[in-house]
Amino acid sequence: MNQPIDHLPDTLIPPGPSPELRQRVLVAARAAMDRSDLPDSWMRIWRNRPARLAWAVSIGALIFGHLVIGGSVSTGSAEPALPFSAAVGTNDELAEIVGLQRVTVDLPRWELLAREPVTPTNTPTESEDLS
Amino acid sequence: MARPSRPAWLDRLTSDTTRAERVDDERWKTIFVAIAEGEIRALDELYDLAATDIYRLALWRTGSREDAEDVVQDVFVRVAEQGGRLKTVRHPRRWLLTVTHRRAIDLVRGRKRRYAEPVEEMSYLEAPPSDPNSGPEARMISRLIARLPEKQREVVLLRHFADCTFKDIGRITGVPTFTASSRHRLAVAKLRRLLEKNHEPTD
Repeated sequence: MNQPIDHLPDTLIPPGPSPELRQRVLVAARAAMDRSDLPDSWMRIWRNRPARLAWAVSIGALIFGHLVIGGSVSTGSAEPALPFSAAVGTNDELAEIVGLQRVTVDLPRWELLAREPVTPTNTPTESEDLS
Repeated sequence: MARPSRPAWLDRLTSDTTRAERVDDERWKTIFVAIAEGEIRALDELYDLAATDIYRLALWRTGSREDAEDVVQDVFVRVAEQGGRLKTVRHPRRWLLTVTHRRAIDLVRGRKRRYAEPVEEMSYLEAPPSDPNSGPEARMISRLIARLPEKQREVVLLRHFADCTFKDIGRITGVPTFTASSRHRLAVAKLRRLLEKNHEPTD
């Protein structure tokens, strides 16, 4: 086969899409465009009047509650907490528990030395197998 | 036997001066803005303007008509889903070809997982109806083009049949301009070798 092919680029072209493809592609693209026009869930909630009203009421209630509770705390209307010893009052049993002293024992020096931990020596003897 | 002279079309592949008249960028942008504003008719216009380039790129990359048609559909669906974001696209034609390139790669990867056999023998070039005699030559050249690696084949198409610059090809295929140019050079060299081998007399 030894034909001149210099004219090829003028005549040969890559194939194009089939005519049927146009309809198929455009139908799919239009459907996609319609889908993309749909608002997302947050936008749908925002556009719903009752939902918007409920949102406004809940925010209002939160602000109101915050102001009322925060205001009562800052005015100092709550009673200050008593010290524990004052709260115990005349209850002797509780007073004894509150006033419990720490037990201390004076041990002789030789007993303290005996309680010190003994450090083991790991030096092997000649008779021991080192392997 | 004397070597066959280098065909003129192969010379033109290496030339940087051939530029077909390109559709004005503004027209592409106008269409993109219209689609972004929800004009359905703009999709038709975009199809007429871009479908052939998209289909050809997908065909040369995937090597399958069926896959190429799927790619065209996916690209247009993607465009339609973009909505207002299309207004921010600065180079619509390049953007479309980039989306096509990526989608075609995804499809080829998926297909390689599904089928181990190569796809059917593809006609990458066709004889126009006005010149039916060049059918056998078209098949011969298609076979040569089929032997190019996908990346090189894609560059040849973008450079020669889609009138893209190497800079554009680099952006579309996600490689530096130098790499795009290098792939083109290798593709042309390989085509030349294959062509010469094809013209050697058989004993």
